[in-house]
Amino acid sequence: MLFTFYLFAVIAVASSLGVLICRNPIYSAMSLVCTFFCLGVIYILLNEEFVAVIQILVYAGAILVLFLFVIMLLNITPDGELFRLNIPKVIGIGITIGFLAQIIGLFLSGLQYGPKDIYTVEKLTEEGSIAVIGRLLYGEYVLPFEVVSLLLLVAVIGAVIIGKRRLD
Amino acid sequence: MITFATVSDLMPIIPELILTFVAILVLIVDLVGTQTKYRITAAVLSIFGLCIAIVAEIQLFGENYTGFFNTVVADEYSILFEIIYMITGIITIMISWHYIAENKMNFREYYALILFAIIGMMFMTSSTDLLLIFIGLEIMSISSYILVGMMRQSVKSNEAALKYLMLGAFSTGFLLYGISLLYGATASTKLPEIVSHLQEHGVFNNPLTGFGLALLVIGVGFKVAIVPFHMWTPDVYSGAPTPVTAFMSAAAKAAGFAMLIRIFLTGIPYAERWDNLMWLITVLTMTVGNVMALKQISIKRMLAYSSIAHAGYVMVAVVAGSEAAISGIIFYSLAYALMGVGAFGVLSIQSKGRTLETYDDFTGYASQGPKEQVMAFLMSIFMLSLLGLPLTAGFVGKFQIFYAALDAGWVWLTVIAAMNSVISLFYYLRVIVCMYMKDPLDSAVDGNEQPTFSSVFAISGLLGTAIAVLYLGVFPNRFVELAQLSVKTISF
Amino acid sequence: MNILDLLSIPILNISSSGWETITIAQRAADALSGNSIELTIFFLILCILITVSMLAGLGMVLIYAERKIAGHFQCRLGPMRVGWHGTLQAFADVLKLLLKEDLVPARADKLLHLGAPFLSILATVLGLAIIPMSPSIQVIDVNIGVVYVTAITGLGVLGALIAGWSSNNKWSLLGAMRAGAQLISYELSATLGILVIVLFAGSLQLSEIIQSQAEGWWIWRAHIVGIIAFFIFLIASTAELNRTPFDLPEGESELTGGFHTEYSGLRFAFFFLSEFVNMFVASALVVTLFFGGWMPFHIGNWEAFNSIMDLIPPAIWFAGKSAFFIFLLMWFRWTFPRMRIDQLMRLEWKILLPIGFANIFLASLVILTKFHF
Repeated sequence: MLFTFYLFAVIAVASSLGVLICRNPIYSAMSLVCTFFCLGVIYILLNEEFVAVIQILVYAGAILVLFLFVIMLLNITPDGELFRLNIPKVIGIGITIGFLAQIIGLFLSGLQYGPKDIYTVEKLTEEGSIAVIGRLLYGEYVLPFEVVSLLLLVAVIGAVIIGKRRLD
Repeated sequence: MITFATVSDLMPIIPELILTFVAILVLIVDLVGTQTKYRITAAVLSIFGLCIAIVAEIQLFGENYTGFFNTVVADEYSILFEIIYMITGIITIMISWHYIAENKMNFREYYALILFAIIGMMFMTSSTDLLLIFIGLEIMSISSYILVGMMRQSVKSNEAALKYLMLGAFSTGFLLYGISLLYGATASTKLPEIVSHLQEHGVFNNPLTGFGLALLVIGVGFKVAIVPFHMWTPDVYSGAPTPVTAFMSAAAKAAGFAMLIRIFLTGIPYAERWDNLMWLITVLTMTVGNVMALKQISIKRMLAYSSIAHAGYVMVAVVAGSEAAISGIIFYSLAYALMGVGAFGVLSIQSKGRTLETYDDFTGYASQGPKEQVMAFLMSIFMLSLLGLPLTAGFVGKFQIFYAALDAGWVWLTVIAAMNSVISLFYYLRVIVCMYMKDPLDSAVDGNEQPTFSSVFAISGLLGTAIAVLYLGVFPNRFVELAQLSVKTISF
Repeated sequence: MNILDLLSIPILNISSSGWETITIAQRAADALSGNSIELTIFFLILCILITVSMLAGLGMVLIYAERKIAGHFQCRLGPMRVGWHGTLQAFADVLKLLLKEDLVPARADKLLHLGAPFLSILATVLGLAIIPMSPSIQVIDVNIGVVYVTAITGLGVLGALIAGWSSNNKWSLLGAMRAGAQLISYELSATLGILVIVLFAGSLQLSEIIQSQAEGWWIWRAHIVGIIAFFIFLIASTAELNRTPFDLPEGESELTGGFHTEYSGLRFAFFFLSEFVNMFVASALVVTLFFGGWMPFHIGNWEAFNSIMDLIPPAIWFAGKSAFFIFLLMWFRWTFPRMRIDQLMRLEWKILLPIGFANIFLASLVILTKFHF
């Protein structure tokens, strides 16, 4: 278990670095697919098969395909040098690394695990994660679940407005 | 096993339901109506829906309904804020009609999107679950991204929409990350549970909660444009269609602050260093907003920076954090909603086929005709109110906030805020000076245009706003009392 | 345990209490907990063998079948020379493809061009892994089977997209674009079709969906709703498979070969293989969801008839039903003309999707009112 976790965690981190480092946007997108896959595996290790598969379905299957679409249609060519250091970039990198170090230090010093929610791994394996998720979605979280439909409606309207050919 | 929501759970969200219904009706009217007829129908229908929703809110006032497993509450606090959004919405729609007609921006979904944005804000305000708050925030944000980019033929509008979308997406990321860290630390997205956990264990004992809250501040700070996160404001506000700018500066900001108060001022224990950070942000927000506003040539940009400064004044109250301060925020949100919408609204009305943008456009404005005279008068009222002159709503709001800050012992902060108000004197008065004390530039004078129905509609809306500003300035008692009452019953 | 015990894996697994399903992964896990490492390894190898041999075997059989069926539809004989009635033709073809030169266009993106066929075949293999072919022949039985299948089909298109783009050929790119657009659109309808059955069966697990059909297959137990769902799913899966009348991504009269124009030799064979095996996966899903999977055909109270039907092993039932749907898909190919891209999009967004939504609404009504058999 632990070995599998570390294996896929390392691949996930490496491939998400790949997203940043690759000059070719298609390679970046493919690295992202790889990251999502590894995340999916990590979810499975957490006994959350449903989240894992949804992760792959939504991100790798739908969103990434749209990414690739846009990249391919726009025909983005890889741009020049990868690391042209200028002063703002150096400052930015410095601040980022500083923050990262601080975060890591802080977490190493005093990380406390929060209280366990009632949905423990045992409960999930007993009932199956979909049953639990379904019950929560239609019970306790029914309002957020329904309000999301408004969000989607607004997004659809936006897409229609942007995609409208005729400016009447 | 599974407890379902019942019909009585719908009580606290009745206004939201009404608005959703009207918004969808507006979309359907789009399908059947012809163009010009539609514009009137949709605008009138939207205003009508907002009025009904306001009535519904008033009916709910004092009942303190909760529903959906305490996900939403209809306490006085949220009802007051929701009425502020809806009033802003009504005024926005009244000025939009004219603007849309003049700028040939006739996407029919405009009014529906404004209604959807208001629904989002209402969920943001009335929810006590971070999940629903986030979804409400997203509904509001996505509607405003689209509204900002609605003038598709205008490059500035497109640029503004893209900037807003990109930066907004980032801020959403921060917000969501903050929520997930908080969830990780407290095992709940419900504010009451988070608060009780934090009160028990402290905020800074666990890095997760500290980081989570900090990221939440960043996410909300972006929406209300406080200083390190204000970069988008001038470009977006000046690029967006002016009524949309008015709507965003007033309603979206009020919603952001409503959310900020709900999350931060209702029980999360304060720590020393937290205050210092907020203090710094507040001072920066006020100062940067005011100083940058001095330099602007475009009045729209000037107002954008001034709205940053006003966010700073509200932040003074957030730092003070007392009950009086919160009621001050509620009043100030209402006051700013009125005067902000009013000021942007004047900009949105064309004069002799020209869009008013810079100080030059306003030079000698008052002497150009009867319509211009009215407009100049209205603009003066809004400017004076933004400045905080006595007998206007702006004064009462500022007074309350400064008083609350002094009361809570923030002397230096209050002094800085007062100094900032003095700085703002310069650019607000400059508008009035331009309008009344200078001769108009060359071409603008000739021609006497016939006022169209739409412009009369818009001006009457602005007139109502100005009257409200003065009324709130002269007789604030009732509203101040309401605000104080609502703070007492604020639940979370 | 020894190898002899393995032979006792019940092929005929009939008991009065119903069907007992044991997946191979489950057996491997059991063996592991029984401290029998050799057995675990054996089962794991069996898992791989099943998928790989299915892949290769199905590929050859289906290619042969397609050629024969095509031939007979066009009143000719199809391959006749190699072996009895051309049965060895597929082997000869594979040999030819293996020996062919593997061309990579000069300006292609080498790495992606080489990798794309593997992406494509990966999705296919992952899909094969959860198909329940009989109570005891199923590699793994995940509790979210149906969602898993949807996710995997979505992955498959990545291979086509990457292949089309990396070939640096405008026809390939167009084909890839079409494949992507088509898959994303039709996946919605396919899912809506599946969801109806999920509602009826009350489970996402493929084995449980089959179990729920012990009383009768959903295609008639769910009557009208089921039949509509079946047609939606069939049309949508045909489109997801890129087969005629939806074969725009590789329509040879317009795009030479679509996304695999620039592929030759083994890599071309991989695309070909994944397309044919995907056809099997889709047919298997249709069978599993609507036609009782490996359940034998029963008629009400005809005890004698039913027990005769029970004698036929479930694997045979499954194979027979799948074969029928594969035949149907091939029949489509040689019957319908190809659609235009705008017709394709209109069919999905304006016809299938609204019908799908209405159907799922109707289905929930049917279930609430218990108006089904």
